[in-house]
This record gives sequence, structure tokens and C-alpha cells, in this order.
Amino acid sequence: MINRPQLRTLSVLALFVGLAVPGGAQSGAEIVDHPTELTYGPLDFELPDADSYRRELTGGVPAYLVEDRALPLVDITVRLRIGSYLEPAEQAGLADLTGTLMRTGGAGELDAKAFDEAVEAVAGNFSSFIGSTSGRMSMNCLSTVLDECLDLFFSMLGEPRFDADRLDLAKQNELENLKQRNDDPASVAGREGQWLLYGRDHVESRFVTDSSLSAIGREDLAAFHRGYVHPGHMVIAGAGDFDSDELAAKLSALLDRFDGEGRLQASWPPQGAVYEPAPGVYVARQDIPQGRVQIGHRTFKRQDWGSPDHFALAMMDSVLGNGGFTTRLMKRIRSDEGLAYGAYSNFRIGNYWPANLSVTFQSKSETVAYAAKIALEEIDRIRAEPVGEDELQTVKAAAVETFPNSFDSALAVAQVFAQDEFLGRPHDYWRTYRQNVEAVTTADVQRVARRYLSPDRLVMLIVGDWDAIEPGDSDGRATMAEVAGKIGGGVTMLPARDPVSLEVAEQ
Amino acid sequence: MVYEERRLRTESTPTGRYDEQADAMFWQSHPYSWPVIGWPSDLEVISKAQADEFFATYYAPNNLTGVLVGNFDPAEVRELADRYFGRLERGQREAPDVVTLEAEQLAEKRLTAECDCQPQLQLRYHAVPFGHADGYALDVIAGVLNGRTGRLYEEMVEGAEIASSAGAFFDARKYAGVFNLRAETKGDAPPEQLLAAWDEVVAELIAEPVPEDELAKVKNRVSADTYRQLREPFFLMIQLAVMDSMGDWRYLNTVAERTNQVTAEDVQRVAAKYLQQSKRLVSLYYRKAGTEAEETPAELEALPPEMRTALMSQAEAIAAIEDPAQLEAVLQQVDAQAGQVPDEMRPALEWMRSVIEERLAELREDDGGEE
Repeated sequence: MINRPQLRTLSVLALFVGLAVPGGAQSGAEIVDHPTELTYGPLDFELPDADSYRRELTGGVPAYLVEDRALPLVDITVRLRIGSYLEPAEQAGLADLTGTLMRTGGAGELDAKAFDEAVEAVAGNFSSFIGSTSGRMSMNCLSTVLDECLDLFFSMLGEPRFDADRLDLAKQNELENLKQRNDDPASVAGREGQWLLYGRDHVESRFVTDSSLSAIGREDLAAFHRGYVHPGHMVIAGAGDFDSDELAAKLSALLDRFDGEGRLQASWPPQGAVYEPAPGVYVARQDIPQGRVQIGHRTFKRQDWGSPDHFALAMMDSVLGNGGFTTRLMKRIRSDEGLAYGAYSNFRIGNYWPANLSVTFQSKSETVAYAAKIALEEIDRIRAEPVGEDELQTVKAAAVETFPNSFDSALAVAQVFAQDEFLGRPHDYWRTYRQNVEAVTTADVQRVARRYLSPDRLVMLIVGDWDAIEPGDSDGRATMAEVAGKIGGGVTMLPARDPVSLEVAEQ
Repeated sequence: MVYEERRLRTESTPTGRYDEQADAMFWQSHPYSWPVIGWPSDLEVISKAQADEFFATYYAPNNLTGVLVGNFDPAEVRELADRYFGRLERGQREAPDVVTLEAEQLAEKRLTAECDCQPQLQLRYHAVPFGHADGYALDVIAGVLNGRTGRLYEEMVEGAEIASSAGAFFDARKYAGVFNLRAETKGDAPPEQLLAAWDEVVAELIAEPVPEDELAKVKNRVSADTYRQLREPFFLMIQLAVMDSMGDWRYLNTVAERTNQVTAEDVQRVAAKYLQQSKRLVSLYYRKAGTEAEETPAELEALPPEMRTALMSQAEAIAAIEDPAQLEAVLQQVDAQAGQVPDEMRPALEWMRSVIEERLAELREDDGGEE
């Protein structure tokens, strides 16, 4: 167990390590005065060939199998094109519980306890999860017991029992979690921010309540599983100590165990309710010393993986606030003014519906307004002026030089390519990635900033002590009235909600 | 900015400030009692000169471990490391030794807190530092306790259904270790009930040897996990650095084998030695706000948890009674029982009397106010 003080020390070590390897090209040369003056040879990285790992298993199930014999371990991940978008809204939590109970509710001949014991006996790590737009079941095992593990894993996938006592327990535990969801400001911000930007009807805006939980029975889990968890929705990734041909044959035989009865074809891609948020400042009152702030708006849905705008947007985001200590938001809000531990931007493009921009920071109540003012200034500035050539070079170099990290293990390679197939992202995306990044100019960055950042559509959510936040700081650098005036749309107090039912709480 | 980090990590999280107090309470003499982020008053007064001195002393090559993991020729990298890092000068002085070590704890400590959090129990036991021979058995004990087939799950989560989660871990540090237990309550179970259940789990660990298959399960897990830890380059780097800073990176090479040698008798011996009540800090967290947030009255401390809960809910019912005559009747009942209750119940009875009388006084005041 690594505790926080140790991790803090380690991040410093990691920094040194990062500086220590200037490509080897400098041996014998003068040592430069500053790390930024180091020069490197061209990065020599051969992209793995996706097609050479691809197999087609029984029923046309695609699998990316990457051998790595260094350690006696095998990883298998099964991704499914399913999710909570398939569950009825009044049974929010059904997909999630189905995913959880596949792992915890027993399978095949083994009741819940016996299944757990069997997995423990081979020291396997099994997991099962169904999110809003994907399902993921995975196993990690010693290769010495691969056959036993695969047998158990496919039993979990194909014939889960959903034992009633484990379902009761899971529901009770979920209820306990619901009671706590107003305790953590991050959880309040996540929920209210989601509703503000996506509306209440969007599939990702659904949250479990006591009533949705009580509407879910064992037979609902079994039906959801039977309908949707089958080879027709699967993409498989495998990595580790195996022979690919042998493993492909084993997997095909295991997939053959699925019968066709009662199976449904999930609609794909998932659909989300259309919603345009109302700009303004929204406040969820909470008695904490720091205001937690999210500023953002909806973005757009991806049409084309090769669009040059997307690479320019990624670079713009990196200059603005999606990166380390050198971004504009971090420099001004953290390094220059000391207003927050960190300030970040994240411009996300949606795969199935328009995603959202989010600019986030936490600052003590009095300086929330001032930090917000700076964040808004930076959003304006990146639209008004081209970014510096040096700024752009820094973020481009970071994207290009860290690119091989996406492929730094056999498991990573298998998962990236399986994810390509899952999303419909062409493998070629990776082959042209570095050229596409290199091609971005400062004019491109300004163009996409003007096109895709909309200061007149911003929604600002604050979770915190509004009475202390509203007046701003005693130096008079900013007040919330000033910030709200800039955003437009006024200030709205969000009602307190009962954590369990999410109904508006009685005051 | 550092103060913002303090607000972020310590002051704005449900239990952060109390966890910090618990650490300060647990370590009575060793500097582990200091929060790494610093106490608020430290942050106010630290000077540039102090920061410079600290940096010069501790961020010097003679106090540094570098770790490289990846695809390279070690000889070439060694040369590069010498060339670049060899230029760094030794610190003017060695980092001073930590001289104040932890003094032996003689009696149980207790922290009772009300927070915006799920009621929970945290236990910290003083244990051995990194690399100590008994550490392997402490890790095995954590293995026996944790997971869905572990004893905590069976006894507290699934069996008695008093916890929504429970986990134990041994945190071995350079100078001393801590064996931790954390459990969150479920339903109306008070944290004291988790404590009682835990004490039974410990008693069994001490009294009965762990069965062979249970021990084998834990050992299998340790050896599989050892391979897993070698897999990710970044994680491997972190582990090597942590282990070297605590004493010896070679621990990674021997941990599986040493764990395999742990016997059922070792587990019994080590449990008896370190999981003693007098060596622990008990932290009990209650939910703040509302009637249920009330601290347990001192008069009720000695009672079994179920009885205490029952009495407290009776007190709530009494506080809701509007009719003074009804209260007078209850008071008479209580007095009638006074002669019959055992001695240990007497403070509880007195407490109940005082609750009723307080409520009577309130009602009389209300009447006066309305006139």
C-alpha cells in the first residue's frame, strides 16, 4: 500500500527520471545549460500492425490477441456494445446491477460463495461492469491455470445465477451509497453539472434512486443478461502468455456455449436526448471552505476520425488547460495567483452525442470569483489571439513524444485495437496521428477556438458556501456579480435534494 | 496554493480533518504525526529561507534514489546518468537522522467524531516497520480478512449485515508500521457494533490456527500479485523507488517466497502480539445533523450497542411527546424500576430520567411562551 507522502516524493523522482534520458544522442557533446535546450534524435517507433493480431472467432466475434511471454500471466477483456441506455428509465441502475451481479452472484453450478472461492483458489482477478454505453468483463490469471480460469470466466459471462441473497446485499449496499451521495462535493457537482448540461432526460443523466432500485428484481437482471450479453455484441482483447492460435480456438469453443434463445439485438449507436442548456451561474449550496467550480457548454458529436479540426482542438485544449503545469489556466490561476491547487480544461468530442467542455478548479470561497474571472479571460484570449508558436510546439511535442505510451504493453496494444473496432475508429487513425498533430498551425488553433468555444453559451456550476463566495475577495479583484454579468443568464440557486430520492428536500 | 491543496484534500473531504487528527493522535512521538501538507499555522509562517534550507538538505543527490525502467541498454544509461547527475553536488550536510522514535503505547486511545459521513470505524494498531520478519504474517492476516471470500466480508458484510464495506491493510513504513481496519456501517448499526464484531474476528485469529486451504489461497494470491506488479513499467518504477527509500528494493524479489513460509502458528503469534487493544487507536465516526447525529451520552457508553440504540430511540420518542401527564406517567415507571436494575444500568436509568425531566421543562416553557 503506497500512502500519499510516498507518492508525493515519487512524482519528484519521476520528474528527474524523465529528464535523464536525452535519447543517447548527446554522449560526448557539451552538456546544455537547461533541459529545454536538449535536442533529440527523431523518435523511432514502429506502430504495431493491428491486422496481424486480429482473429475472427465463432459467430464473427473479433478478437485482438497479442502474445507476451515475459511473465506467466494472461489478460482477457470482453467489451460489449450495450449499456444503461437499454434499460427502462424507471429501472435506473438495472444495467449497472446486472454487470455487478454477473461477478458476484454465482455462475453455472456454483453458487455465489462457491464461485468466489473457485476464483480465489486460482488467484484470478475477475471483473464485470456495465456502464452507460459499454459493458466490460475482464479476467487476469496465471497462465499455469488458464483453462480453469477461462472456464470460470465464460461461466460468468454466459450463465450467471444472480443469486437472490447477493442481489439483496448489492441493493442494500447501493442504498447505503445513495445516502452518502451528498456528502462529497464532487458527487454533487457531478450530478448537478450533468443535469445542467444534458437535461434530465438524457441517458447519462439518470441516477439511481430508492424507487428505481426497488423496481429492479432478480428476473429483470436475468432478462437483461439474456437479451444483451451475447457474442453478437462482443469485441475481445487478449494479451499475455499464450499461443494466439491455441487461444483463439479455445475462445471459439467457449463462445459456442451461448445458445440463441431470447437474444436481442441492441440498437447501436446509442441515442441521447437532445438538450441545449440555459447559460448562467448555478449554485448548489454546501458548507465547505472551498468552492468547487465547473464552467462549460456542450460541444459536438464526432463525424469523422480524420477531421483536422479535431487535432487542432486537442492542441488548443492542451494550451488552455488540459495538461500539466504549463497550461495557461494552470499558470495564471495556480502559479501566478495561488488561487487553486489546479485549474483544468477538457474539451471532449462525443462519440454518440455532443459531449461537453469543462473548465474546473477549486478555490477558497473568497477567490472563486477572481479565479473564474481569469478562466473566462483565458477562454476569450485563446479566441482573440493566436497562441504562441512556442506554446504550440510544446504541446505538439508532448503529444508526439508520448504517443508510444499508448502501446507500452501487450495488453495496451490489444485494448487500443479492440477499442478501435468497438468505436468504429479506423486503425489508420494511429498511423496518421503524429502527422496530423504536426500539421496543426497557430492559425488552426485560433480558428477552431473561435468556431467551437462559445463564451455566450457558458454554464457555470458552483458547489460551495455561496454567502462567502458571492462578495468575492477583500482586495476587490472580482465579485460574483461581475462574473455572472459576463456569463449572462443570472444566478440560479439549485434546490437541495434528498440524497436517496433526489427529490427536492423540504427546507 | 499549498493552502488550497490543504483545503482540497483535508478540509473539504468528509473525514479528512478527523483522519488528520487521528494520525496526530496515533503517533505520539514519531514525526509521522505531522501531516505532510503541514498544519495551518505552519503554512502561515514558513519563510523562503526555511524552504531553501529544507530543499538544500533533503533534495540533494546524497538523499536521492533514481529509478529507470524501460527499453534501454543499462550500461549506456548508467554512463548518461553519471554524466548528467554526477554534476550535482552533495548536500552541505547529510539529512539528519530521525531520532525521536515511536514510544510504546500503553493504553487504548479513542477518537469520537461527528462528520458529514457514513458512520464508520477506523482502527490503527502499532506494528512493525518495512522489512521486519513479522510483516509477512501481517500481510497474510490482511489477506485472510479481505476480499469477498475473506473473513470481514463473511462476518460483518454478509453474515451479520452490519457493515456495507470492511477492509484491512498493513501499511509498513520505514520507521514503524500501522495495521489498519476500516469499516462503514450499514443501516442503523452503530460503529461500536462493528468494533465488537472485529474484536471477535481477532480473538478467533489468535485462538484458532488458520485452516490450510485458507492459508494456501492467500499465498497463491500473493505470488500472482507479485507477477502482476512487475507488469506495468510505471508501476514497477514506483515500487522500486518506494522500497528503496524504505530500506531495500530487493524486497520485491523475495516477498512471494517469504510469504510462502508463513505458517498458521505465525499468524496466531503475530495477531496476538500486534492486534492488542492497548496498542490501538479506535476512531468512531457518527453522522452529524438530525436526531441520529447525537453523540452517545456518556451514561450509555458501558451498555451493549443494541441496548444503547434502543434507549436512544426511546429518548427520541420521549422528546416528541406533547402531553406532560404522559411524561409524568413514564417518569413514575422509571422510578418504579429503579430498585430492580443492576448496577451497571443505573447511570443509564439516571440519564433516561434526565431526558424526561428536560422534556417536561421544555413543555412548561412553551406553555409560558404562548400566554
